[in-house]
Amino acid sequence: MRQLSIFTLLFILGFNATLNAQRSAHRFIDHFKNENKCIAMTIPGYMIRTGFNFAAKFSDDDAEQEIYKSLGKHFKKMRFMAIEEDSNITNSNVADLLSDLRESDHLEEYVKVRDGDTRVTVFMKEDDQIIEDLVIVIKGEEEFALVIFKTDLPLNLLKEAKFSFNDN
Amino acid sequence: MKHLLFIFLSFVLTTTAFSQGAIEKYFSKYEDDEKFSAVYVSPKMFKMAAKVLSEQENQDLQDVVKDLEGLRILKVDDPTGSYFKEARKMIPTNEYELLMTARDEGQKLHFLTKDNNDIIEELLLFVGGDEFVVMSFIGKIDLEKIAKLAKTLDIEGAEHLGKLGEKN
Repeated sequence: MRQLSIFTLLFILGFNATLNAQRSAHRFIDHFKNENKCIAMTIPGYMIRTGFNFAAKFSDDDAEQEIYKSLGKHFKKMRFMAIEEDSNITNSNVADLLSDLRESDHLEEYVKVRDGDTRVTVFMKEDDQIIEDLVIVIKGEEEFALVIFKTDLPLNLLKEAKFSFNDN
Repeated sequence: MKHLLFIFLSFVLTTTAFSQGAIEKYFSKYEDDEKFSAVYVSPKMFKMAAKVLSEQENQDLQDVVKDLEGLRILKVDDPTGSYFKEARKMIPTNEYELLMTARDEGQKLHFLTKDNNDIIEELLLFVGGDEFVVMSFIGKIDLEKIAKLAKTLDIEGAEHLGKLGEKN
């Protein structure tokens, strides 16, 4: 009974850790999605797959079509929020979000680019050569965008996709 | 005797920490300054890039990327050359060796390296002119191979890396 309890506790913690990987980003969207001129959307995996399958039809190359279809299968969910102008999201809000993504959600900062007022930060969580979480934060003077992907995207597939697209 | 040894070790460690901190301090000072453009690429990103690069692509490029542990770039308009002078003054000459200087169409280039047992751990590139650019590559650096990044890295200032290849 004790072993079962320990196992259950570990399972819950593990499951919780998986959910936690994007919690700050989702909380951020929930908080700001009703702002003026804000577009917020959740796109389920099957719709993303449909999108990739549709994109595949524009390619004449069979191998490239297969790559598109394969890529689509690995996106489980996408959620994004975008404000094109007059954003009320401050630099301080964004700094708190970035800090939470790093420290609370344990996402790793992969790339950070800043040019003038515009900042782009890319966070990822990769486990055993599979990208599980991808979060992109873009802050401009008046614009803001936050994109969240939940995936199980293998790096090998990216390698194949890159090689295939380079050939063309 | 022990007391002297302790003082000596403290001095060495403090000096080392300060000198490593000089570049970090410079980047930290300006990475949030809106006059500057800034890029940061993390070790994780380089590891991922190395995995995604196909073996069929340039083997040297893959070799360079897999040994890189970070890239930082700062760029700012600098018609008076004040940022260039400030940054050069901050480099501790006992830690960094001036590898090469060059002049090219009104720009001055300084390449500095920091070695550890014949392995280059850090490559600094300073570009002075109307714009000031400082690039810091960290990792196990092969100068000939990193010159090949000049064309691949689509970042302003990176084209000067090609001069390292000309030197050799």
